[in-house]
Amino acid sequence: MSVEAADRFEELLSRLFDGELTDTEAGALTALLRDHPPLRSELRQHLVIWELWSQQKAPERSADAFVAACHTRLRAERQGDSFLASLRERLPNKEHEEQRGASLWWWLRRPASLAGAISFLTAATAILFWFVVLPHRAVATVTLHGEAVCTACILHETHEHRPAIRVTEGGRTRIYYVKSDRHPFERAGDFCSAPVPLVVTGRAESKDGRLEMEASSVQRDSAPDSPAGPILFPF
Amino acid sequence: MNPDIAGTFDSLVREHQAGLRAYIRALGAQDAWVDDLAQEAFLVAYRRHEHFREGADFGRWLRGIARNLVLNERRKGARRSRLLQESIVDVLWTEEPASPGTETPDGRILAAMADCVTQLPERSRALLERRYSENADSESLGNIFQMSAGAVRQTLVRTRVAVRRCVAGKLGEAWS
Repeated sequence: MSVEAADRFEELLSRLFDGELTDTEAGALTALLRDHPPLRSELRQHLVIWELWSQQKAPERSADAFVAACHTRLRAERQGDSFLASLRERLPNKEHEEQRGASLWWWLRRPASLAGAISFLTAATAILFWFVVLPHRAVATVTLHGEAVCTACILHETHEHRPAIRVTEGGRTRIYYVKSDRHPFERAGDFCSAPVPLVVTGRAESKDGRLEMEASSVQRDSAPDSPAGPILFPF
Repeated sequence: MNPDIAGTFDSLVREHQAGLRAYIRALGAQDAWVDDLAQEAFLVAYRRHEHFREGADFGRWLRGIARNLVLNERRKGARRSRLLQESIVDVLWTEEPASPGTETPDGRILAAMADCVTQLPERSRALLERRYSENADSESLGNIFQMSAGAVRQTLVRTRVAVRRCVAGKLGEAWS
């Protein structure tokens, strides 16, 4: 190998270790490695040596830091929801809203809940009415038992903070986007902080698969007495 | 997590992390992504620990997982930001055996390195220390050592070449 090739290899090596190797220089380095097989072995040795040296010298790359990072990722992976629940529990001034969310979640999950059954039957009847009995019409007056959620803070769909009604029944969730005045929803509770359980009556409409609601009555739903259960997350 | 499994996992991570990270780097990972890929390999190993045959070489199994992760990165094409440039990685892989080779002798390499580094001129040794302990670039090292950035780069590359030659000489055929 010529002196020029060796010098060029060192120069390109320096660029690589500085993270400044351009695509053109990478091409030049590749050509050198193809033409001079011993340089491949040298490059591999450099990569290994300076990787080990970096682990030894950089505190953030120490064995302890690496093991701790592995544990963090493992915990995050295995505990997913409970990790988030624990984090959310520590957020200030949220206890009240969380309890409401928890109660609602517990309530929604109860298969024998009379209110749930009524809500399901109401929604099912409305859907049957829309799509089977009156297929030419996609408007119906319905009463929904659900929760108000913010389309910006909770659904992350808009920039504007608007209420939507989330109805969960039989393992399915439907979102009704509120077309009418949002103030009745704001009076019912801070739907940007946490879901607010509501009973909403009004005209529901389906437009290209999107459900919209013009509310004529918005009432806070008093959740049945229930023990503290899993926290319902808005995300 | 089962405390027994957690304890075993912890000791296996400690035992194999240095060599695994070096192995991943030699496969063409960018330095900034080496730890990320190595952690992924350990997580995959943890998830699939039931597939590990009792009495088999854990390090080899782990390197096989890491190898597959890097292989997946190579298949990502333009999005494979965690690796060095495609052409360099391709060359590095031309001599990569079909299955993971022997474990990187990280303990022996580090011992040889320590010995080799003590033989360096003081300024070169100090540059090397600060370059890696503080992740300092040539400009800031130049300010510290009152050298131009170009002179820092030149000194560093010559130091690296000298250390590699010294380490390879000490390890001989044991490290090809």
